[in-house]
Amino acid sequence: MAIVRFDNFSFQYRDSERPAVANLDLGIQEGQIVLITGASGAGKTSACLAMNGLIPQLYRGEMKGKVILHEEVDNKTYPVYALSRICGLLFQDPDAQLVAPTVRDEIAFGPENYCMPPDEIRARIDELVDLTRLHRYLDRNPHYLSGGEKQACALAATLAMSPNVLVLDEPTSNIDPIGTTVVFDLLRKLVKDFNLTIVIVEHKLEELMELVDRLVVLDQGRVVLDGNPREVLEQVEQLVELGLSLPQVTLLMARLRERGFPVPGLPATTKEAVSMMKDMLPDPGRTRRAAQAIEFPFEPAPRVNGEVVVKVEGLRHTYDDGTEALKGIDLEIRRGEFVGILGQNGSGKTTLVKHLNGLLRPSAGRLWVMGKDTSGMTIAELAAHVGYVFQDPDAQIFKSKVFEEIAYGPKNLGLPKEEIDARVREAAEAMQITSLLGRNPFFLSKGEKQRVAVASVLSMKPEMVVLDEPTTGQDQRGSHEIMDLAKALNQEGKTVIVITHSMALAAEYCERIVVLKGGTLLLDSPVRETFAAVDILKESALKPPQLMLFAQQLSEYGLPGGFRTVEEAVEYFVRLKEALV
Amino acid sequence: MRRDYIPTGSIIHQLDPRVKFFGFLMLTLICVLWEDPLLLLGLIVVQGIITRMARLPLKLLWAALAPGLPILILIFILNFFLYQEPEGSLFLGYAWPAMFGHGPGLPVYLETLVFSIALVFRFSVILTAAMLLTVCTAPTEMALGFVRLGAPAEFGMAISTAISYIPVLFSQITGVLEAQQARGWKGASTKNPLKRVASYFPVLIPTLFRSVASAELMAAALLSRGFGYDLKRRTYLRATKFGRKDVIGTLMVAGALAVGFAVFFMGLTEFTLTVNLIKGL
Repeated sequence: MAIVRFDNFSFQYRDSERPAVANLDLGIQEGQIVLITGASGAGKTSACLAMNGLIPQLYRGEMKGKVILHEEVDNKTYPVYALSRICGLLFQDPDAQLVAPTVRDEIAFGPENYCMPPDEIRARIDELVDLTRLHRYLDRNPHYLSGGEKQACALAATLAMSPNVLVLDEPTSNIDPIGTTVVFDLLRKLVKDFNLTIVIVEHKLEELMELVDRLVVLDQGRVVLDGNPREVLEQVEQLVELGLSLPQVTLLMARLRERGFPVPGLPATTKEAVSMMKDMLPDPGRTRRAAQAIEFPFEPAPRVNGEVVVKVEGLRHTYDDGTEALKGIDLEIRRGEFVGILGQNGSGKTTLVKHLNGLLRPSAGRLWVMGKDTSGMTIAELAAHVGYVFQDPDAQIFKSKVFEEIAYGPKNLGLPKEEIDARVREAAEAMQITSLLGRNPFFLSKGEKQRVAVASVLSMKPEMVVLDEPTTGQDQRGSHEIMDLAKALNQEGKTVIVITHSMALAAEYCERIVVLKGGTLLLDSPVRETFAAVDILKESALKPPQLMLFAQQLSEYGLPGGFRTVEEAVEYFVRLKEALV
Repeated sequence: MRRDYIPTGSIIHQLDPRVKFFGFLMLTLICVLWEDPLLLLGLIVVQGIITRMARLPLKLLWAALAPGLPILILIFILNFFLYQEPEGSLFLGYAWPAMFGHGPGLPVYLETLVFSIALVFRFSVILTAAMLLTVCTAPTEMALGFVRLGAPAEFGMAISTAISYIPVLFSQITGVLEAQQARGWKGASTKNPLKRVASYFPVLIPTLFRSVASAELMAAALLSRGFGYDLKRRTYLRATKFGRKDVIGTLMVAGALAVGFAVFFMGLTEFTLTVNLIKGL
């Protein structure tokens, strides 16, 4: 018996030009753990919202077909609060779904609404804080918690209603790696110890493959693949085509299979891939001898000998509340570098880069930008040298025309009109949004808005561009588009600094990595060395990308310390195979 | 002023929110009636006792007043200019001596001085009372108090949600400010009020846009957590029976209020009490 059934379900939002979900047929059986994935705009969130009736009751639009719970309750006739007893929904945004002033009240909120006696609510709170380990925060405002703790709190609050089905809509898309681990660990416990049906929407297949027993892939509002996760994963080409983020080792083995390697089945985890590769390679000694003949890395390390554009000496920053965010940082960045700044939330990444354009001022220590001491410079002066792109483009868009939005920065610099016009066009061209110049930026897609945001910083012609978590909440394709833009800027000679949580993107794009931990500089090295320094990374709780771990676990075969991209790894193994013949 | 709830589980914290509202009202009302600094000082001592009963440090009282200090000082000084001293007031001297060919300025009378001190005490008592109420009452209890006093459940929910959302709103505004500063926004640079408002558009518009977007998400979250299921029978985690200690508390507050009124009607509360005491010395 299907506990949730989509029956030829279609939905088109009132203001939208195309349906978000189109003719969706999907039945979710009781007790199943289902992973739904798909690129942005595939209709995943809309499917979630339909399960408890928010579509079509709160979000209006045109609905066709049916969504039925327990084979009898449909989402059109029963109110959301009734459907939510069956389908508990966890949202992507950790802040918007927390509604109570303390964690205790947050968890109690659902049960209170369902008229549960206070004693029972208290017992349930005890049980759920045990599960989520939120004891210490019971009387704190949940909005002050870290991203992972916020989601844990929201999860406890959803579970408190004892739903039959738990629906999680991208629960880790807006939080950091430690938070993601917290959420996935919780999910693992739920799968093991609770008798729940779970529907989880995620991009991160790698972590979830082992956990789920069904993988559904949506595209343009339809189911395109559905089945056992391993079998679905075999359709690599189609998945790549759809813009999904596949585990790196899966993609590697698929590519090697195409090149004639005897790959038995596609792996999802590093461990599987390592043992698979060991089976394919001859004994370590022979492989090592062959590997010695291969010159690696294939491309020479980029030589950066531009002048120093940023110099930081003994930089400390203490916030008003007494938090010591930076505890003495020394750093030099040269023109033309592509630097990635990694670290957990609270490690001081954002605090550090906000000093570069004067949004924050040093509590102690000194800072030079373009050779000038920043202490006498205003934010506006620094902004002409350092372009800062914030994570959420909605934080800055306020004009009714894209052109005006991009022109805002140069206008503040007091430039003549012709110069402003020229710069707007140039920036728009660089971001490939010339066709959008006449449009209203509020109605653009998230990806387009982000391009507008980058262009509106580029138009100030800064020597340096800082991107603060530009790929958070983006799917694989969106993330690569943004990073490709950053790379293009770098190739034009701009110095690029990226703060990111994505180890894979950092490995692929950045030439130099700075790792922060607790306000100190833990590591500063060329990218290949960074990911080889496993012990140091472990100290900052950062997990190297699969391809790096994969290569390291095969080090007895004489393989290099790590691969930055799947393409590079494929090339390496093809050459290795030739060398072995 | 420190406004966050500090749970200590004390007897004060355990009281029904309505008793605490009543207590707050009592202190405010007495403050309005009484004019004598000595008696008002007595109220401050009572607040100190309440603070200790709530198992909170006395320095919290100071923390409640410190941010309001400039205003208190301003009130104190302004009062010397505004207060019309009664006939036969005791002249103490001039606020400043004769200078640059001008005569000495602002005569100071004992009555004015005492009344000004009393005024500062009154404001202090009200500020402290508000602090005690918020520190000893969880926001949801506060909301529940309103609901129990007849406000609709939606109103209670709106209050506690709004309180919980303050840090988010704050960080959103900061985010917008920083994003615009990074593009050279410098804030208001003219004195023209219209232009001043317009210069804040780059901050106001994105903030509003984001708030509207989060409001929709919050509505979705509230519904998804069963809000509206049965508002009449909805339970409250922090609901307590109006028990013996609440009855005792109410009686004590009512008693204090009665004493306050009695003292007022006996005419003891006019600031003349202190003035006469000083003059008697």
